[in-house]
Amino acid sequence: MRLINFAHGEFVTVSAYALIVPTADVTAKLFIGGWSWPLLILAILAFGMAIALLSNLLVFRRLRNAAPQNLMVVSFALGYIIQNLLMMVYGARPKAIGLWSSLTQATELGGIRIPLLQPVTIGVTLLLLLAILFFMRKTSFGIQMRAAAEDFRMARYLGVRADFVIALSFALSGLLAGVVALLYVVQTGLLAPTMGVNIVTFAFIATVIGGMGSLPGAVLGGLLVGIATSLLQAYLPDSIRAFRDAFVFLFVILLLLVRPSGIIRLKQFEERV
Amino acid sequence: MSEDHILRVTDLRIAYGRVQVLHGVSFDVPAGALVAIVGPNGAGKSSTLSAIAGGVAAAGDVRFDGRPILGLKPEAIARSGLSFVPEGRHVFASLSVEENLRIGTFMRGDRPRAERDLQLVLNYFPKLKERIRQAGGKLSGGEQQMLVIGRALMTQPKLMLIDEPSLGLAPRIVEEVYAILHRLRSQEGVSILVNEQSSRRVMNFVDEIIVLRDGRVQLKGRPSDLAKSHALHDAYFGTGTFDRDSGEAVH
Repeated sequence: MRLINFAHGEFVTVSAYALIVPTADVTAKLFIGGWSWPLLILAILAFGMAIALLSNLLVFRRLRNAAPQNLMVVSFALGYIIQNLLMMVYGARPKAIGLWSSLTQATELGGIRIPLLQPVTIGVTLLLLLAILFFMRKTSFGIQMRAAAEDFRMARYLGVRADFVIALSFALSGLLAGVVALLYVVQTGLLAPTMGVNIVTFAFIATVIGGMGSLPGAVLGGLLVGIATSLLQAYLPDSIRAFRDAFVFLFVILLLLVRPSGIIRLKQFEERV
Repeated sequence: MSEDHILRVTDLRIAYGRVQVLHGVSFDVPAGALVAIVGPNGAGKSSTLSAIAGGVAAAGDVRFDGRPILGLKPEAIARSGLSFVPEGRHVFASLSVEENLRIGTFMRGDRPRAERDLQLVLNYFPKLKERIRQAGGKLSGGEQQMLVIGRALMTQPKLMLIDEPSLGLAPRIVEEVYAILHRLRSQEGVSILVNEQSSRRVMNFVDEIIVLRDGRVQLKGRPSDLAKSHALHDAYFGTGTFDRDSGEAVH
């Protein structure tokens, strides 16, 4: 199953909306968002996993043998359906939400004043990266997932359960979507039905320039896109700063012209001759 | 159901779309035997093994260890003790040799036993021991063939199906691979069913030969009996036109 899941952004959005009471009112009333923080984190992560697993159960599981490009189109459709369901329940307008606002207050770190959220985000990201690396390299489930990603049929001949491994990767992606939802909502203080689109677009770009299917590639790609965006934000003249993202995309196109399979190439994704 | 057959295949039929590739194939693998299916390209050998392992839809009846397995998922068949090594080896190239081997043990609950089996496999294939940390994709063809046989062994199979173990290997390596299969059969009690294009390569090692051509079983028998007559060649080529000394077809 070579799925590029564009509905992943909506997994983030759904997890974020779980923080508030489902109503079309303009002002957001905290629901899970009002719980104590350990409970809140657990609940949102569980919510992310649940929506990912549900998508697998209702949609992707039935299309196990579909071509990757068809699966990608399906994931777009699923994303739009989720967006519109959210609009029906919560209304289409963005809502302000104050979650853990103490994290956004500036704090002094090594002589620079930055919002506390930034080192927290970096720390959480590093921690998750190490956890995923450990999971993929050292646990039996991780090794099975890597084997299945490389040669699904052969993995099954060795007793790897197809349904289980796929459900596991959906659960993992849902868990990460939950984390992203929390960090993103704290940073922006906003909820919108389309908030996931931008996130997944940049994530996709980062994956592509890093090299499809490679974890180090995704990290490298993410870092590159992030640095490029920040530099452009800081150094572009005021008059064209609004077009920052266009310059980021230009940089991506140039990079792909030089290295079409991304920075880190994987054999299994190259066409067989 | 007799207990001395680990695998009974009855009237196995396979069609890809409208093309019928197997027209009712029947054969048995006796428990503890090393059996070879030989036949020319396109005879239906690979399809037969894939169907038994659950990789290809088929009609008929396949009983493994007395239980019908046709229509089960590949992983369910693997978990019941039938390990399939498909054509082209399918080493997990980005996984290390050790990870490749360990994949086969995850479905088993017995960790200590799995550790012992790893040592056993490494004793059978000392070359893998030297390369245990290397990526599977970096191994030579012969080493990859040993890795996939070793990996299949790690699932603790009662029966191994191996599709063309000699494909793309130098004759010396083929000898080595078959010597190991022979030892596995006699020392570990694993039943083995292999596919080969050439009967000559397997004659000295196997207990029984099944000749498959045009999707039908043409001949079955012990290699010693078949070697005496010309029946093997006739069955293989479908005619009598062959060179009796070399076994090659005459054009």
